[in-house]
Amino acid sequence: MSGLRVFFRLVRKDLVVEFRGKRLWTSGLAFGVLLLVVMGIALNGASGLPADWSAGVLWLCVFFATAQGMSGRDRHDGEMGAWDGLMLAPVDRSLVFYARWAALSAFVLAAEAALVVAFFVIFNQPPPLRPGWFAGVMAAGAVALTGVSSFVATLSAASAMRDILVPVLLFPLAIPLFLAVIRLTVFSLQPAWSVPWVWVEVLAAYAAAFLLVPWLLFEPLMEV
Amino acid sequence: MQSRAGWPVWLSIAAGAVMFVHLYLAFVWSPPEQHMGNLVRIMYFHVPSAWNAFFAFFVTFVCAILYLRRRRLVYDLVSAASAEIGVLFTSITLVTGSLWARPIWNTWWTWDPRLTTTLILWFLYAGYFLLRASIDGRERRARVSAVFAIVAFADVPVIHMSVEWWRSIHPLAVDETGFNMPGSMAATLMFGFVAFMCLYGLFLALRVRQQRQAMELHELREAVRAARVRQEGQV
Repeated sequence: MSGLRVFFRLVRKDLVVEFRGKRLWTSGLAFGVLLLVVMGIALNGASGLPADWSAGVLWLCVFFATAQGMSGRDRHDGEMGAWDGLMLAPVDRSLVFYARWAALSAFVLAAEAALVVAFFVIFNQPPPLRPGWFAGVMAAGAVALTGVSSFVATLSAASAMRDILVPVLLFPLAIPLFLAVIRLTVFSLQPAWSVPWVWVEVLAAYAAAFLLVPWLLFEPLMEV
Repeated sequence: MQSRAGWPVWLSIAAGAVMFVHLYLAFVWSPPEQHMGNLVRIMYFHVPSAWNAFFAFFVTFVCAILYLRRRRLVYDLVSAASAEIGVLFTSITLVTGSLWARPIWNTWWTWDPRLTTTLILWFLYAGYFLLRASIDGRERRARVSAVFAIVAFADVPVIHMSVEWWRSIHPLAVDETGFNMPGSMAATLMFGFVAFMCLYGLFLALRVRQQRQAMELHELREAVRAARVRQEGQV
């Protein structure tokens, strides 16, 4: 069986598992929207928030929602020998990671779209000045964030504190990404003179690094 | 047996002597700076501890790679011990930096790229210890920790490059043009690197020795337990 076919089968498997479990939807999205509401209350309605703040609030909720959704994801694979089955797949083991990344990205993107709608409604924000940039940054940030959080979820799967460890390990690792997506979101929300290319480069470098790291390091993580 | 027990004492005396000389150079011999006055003396502890923290994390990184390639637990022991010392030196760096920043920048903390990336480094390795502490099984713990140590090390070059990539107010004591200070201050700083490196060597040797002893003790306990079970089976 070719690597590509295995990849698509693994993507399908992860999509089905996530669709049945609805973990990202029920816990991640609900948590993210709840966080938005709490922040809206804490910031006193927050309708006049400057772009710097509102972009930060939005991404903070996306980060927490993703981390919450990812916590304990790999636990299900350990049940009923599913992990052993994955180990038997006749392909490079990093492909298991890439397939999971692709499948989870679809769910995180969908959850993020719902969060963005909730954000504009709850915070009464004007629509972004550059909608194309805004959509691109949200999508790229979600995909990169899913990559690193999937990796961290696998890393902490063997830990007794996995639920708390995912956010604890994820946030320091994701801070360059966090800074880049916030600056680019601010650029898409308000008038600015020039494109902040340095943050585009940071985002691209970060995504490239997490494209490469699992290929090098995912195999030892999968050992029983 | 005596020689094994003796080397930590001699190493401690040597490192203590070197540190004592460094204290003399930093507090007595080196002159006060023209603008900062005696506050410059913080630099003799801040900069060497930062450099040693980076070195310690580099050792962690190299030993993590070696562990994944060769699967010998001694690399994991050195990796973890070096990370512990790295966190200690990073803490010293952050605290001394904050003490210096208060009178000079009029704030304990500012979101400068170098400060922020150093704080991230501290959190990354604090997470490394949480990860280690929460995984059962010596080999599994070593394997997972090694992967995380390799990923976490990516922050070290980012700290180094942060002053070039982003606008930073952090002063550069040493750059590509050399030391930005008079000779006596540069000499004290250089001696500080040596003194802190000796301290690092001492801590690493002691911690690895302690960890090996803990491992040997665990194996002995397991052997005694197995022997007792066998004995009870025979009775």
